Amino acid sequence: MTMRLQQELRREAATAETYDVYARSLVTARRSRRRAMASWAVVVAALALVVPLAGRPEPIPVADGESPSLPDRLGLPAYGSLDATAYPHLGAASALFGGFGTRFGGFADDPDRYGLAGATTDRYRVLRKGFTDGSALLSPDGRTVADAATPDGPDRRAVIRLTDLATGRISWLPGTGSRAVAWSPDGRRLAIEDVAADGRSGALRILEVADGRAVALVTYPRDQGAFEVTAAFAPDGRFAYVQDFRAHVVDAAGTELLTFPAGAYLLTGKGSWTPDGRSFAMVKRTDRGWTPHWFDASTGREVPGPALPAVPGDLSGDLVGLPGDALAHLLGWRRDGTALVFAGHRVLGLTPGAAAPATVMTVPGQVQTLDLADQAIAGGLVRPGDPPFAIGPRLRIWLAGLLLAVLLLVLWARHRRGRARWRRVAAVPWRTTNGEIA
Amino acid sequence: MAEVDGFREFVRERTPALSRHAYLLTGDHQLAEDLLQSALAGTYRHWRRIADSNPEAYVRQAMYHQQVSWWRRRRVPEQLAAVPHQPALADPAEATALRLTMTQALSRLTPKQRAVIVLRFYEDLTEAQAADVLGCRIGTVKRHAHDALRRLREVAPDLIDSGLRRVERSPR
Repeated sequence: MTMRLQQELRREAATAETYDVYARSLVTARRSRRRAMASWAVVVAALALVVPLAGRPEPIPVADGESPSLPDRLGLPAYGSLDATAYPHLGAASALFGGFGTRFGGFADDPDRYGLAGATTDRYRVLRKGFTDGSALLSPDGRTVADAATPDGPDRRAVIRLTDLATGRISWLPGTGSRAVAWSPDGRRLAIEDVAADGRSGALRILEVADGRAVALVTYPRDQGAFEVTAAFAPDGRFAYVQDFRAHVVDAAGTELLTFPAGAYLLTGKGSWTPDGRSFAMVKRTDRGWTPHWFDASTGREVPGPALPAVPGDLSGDLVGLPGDALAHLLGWRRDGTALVFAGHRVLGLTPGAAAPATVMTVPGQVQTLDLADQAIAGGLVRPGDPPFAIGPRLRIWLAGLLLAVLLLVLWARHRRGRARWRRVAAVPWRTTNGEIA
Repeated sequence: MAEVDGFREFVRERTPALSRHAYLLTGDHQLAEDLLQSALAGTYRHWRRIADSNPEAYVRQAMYHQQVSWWRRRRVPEQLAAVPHQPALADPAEATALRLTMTQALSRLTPKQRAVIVLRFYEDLTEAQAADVLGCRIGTVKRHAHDALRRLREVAPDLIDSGLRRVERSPR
């Protein structure tokens, strides 16, 4: 035993005076309590000031007065992006896209959501569709998304759902519908395809969005290996579709104006009609590139079309799952006559007379389907893309909650450990208090 | 904040022992007074909760924690004395010289090392009890005790006798 060290320590301690600190300790305790209360008051006041402001974000203005534009670089929606109906509302979108990968939710090969990019700014949202097939379409003004979804209830058949991005309201068109096919240029009508529950027959109808009135165009058997219907509205409201190797042109009332054998041709997207409505473009489903052929809308004969530059490269394998197995889509036309084509993970601008296409927008490789608002295309405006960070607001809230829970757990564990430790300390037989030294 | 029953009596009765304790921890009368005042102020704020258990243990624990806390060390920087050139001599003035050496040797320790030395050799607590008081692991107490004794042995060899090794291996 270090007796000498012990003795010297006790001798050293014995030289201590008895400090009269009672009154000053009370003063110190009161002062520290006042400081603690003041600090808490400041914290509470700051929270009272900040929380209401943080909870009421500025609404994003609908693109009134500000022309919609396209981002030059499309990004993937963040993990935990806000829903399309979440506040603050998006107002309108310029791009609607779907694809495969974890950013599109669900499993890698079974996505359950679409991505949306804002009309005037790069604010991204997601639209949850569930694990249903089909596609989503953006209305010409970019304000409404039409897709097939399954509403809650006993009848589990898909219904066409309209999501208003300006108000967040969701409405359902009457009847059933398995796929939204095309919006009319005025946004008042919607062509849909309805596949029977047993999958053996399909029907093509045009619905009035306002009241749900439907014009049935054709009902057809869906044999094994049948191709999907491809369709497009003309600027004047006529409607062309290709089904069972025949092309049809009908007027707004559904009266057939023209039909002719289409052979291996398919319409090439919602922008298949030329801006003047005289002809429409079709592509061969066997082509490995995108080579449009133009057909006169009144005679059905192949005619010379706009002198668009060729889309380079072999596009086979770039895009899968597009209606009609098309390799590229003609999305629409600018007012200057430039056609926008989604091909090879890019949106290309094909200006008549130009030597080569110009890249309007780059698209991530995971994106397989893309729709652009007609107004955003027509204006021809392109803005610098600003894709979102990988972690979105909803995930940030979850992560913050998780962090808080872990923090509380750690604090609780520390508190328990501290209490147990204090019980042991309180039971310590202090020799200097109770033993011979005291 | 009204005065709390029993606190005044507690302070009056226990101040001498607590003063010795504070002085041993700091090695300076002013710092010891300040330390005791702070510990008692903290005790007063929680008096109702701890009055029925062991308030003195609370004060002592508070003193140890404050003495080794980063905040307090920042406020009161430690003044280290120079190393004595000669160890204490075994002559008639040995006791005085040894005491001076003791004071200088303790001043060479860090606050944590000093706290461990006081707990282990003044309070005669086990390593586990010392760890509970300081709120650290037993291994930390062992480490500080080892380092402190080594430093004391360097500064004042006569202070640490040969029986030290048995102390270092004392029961937990």
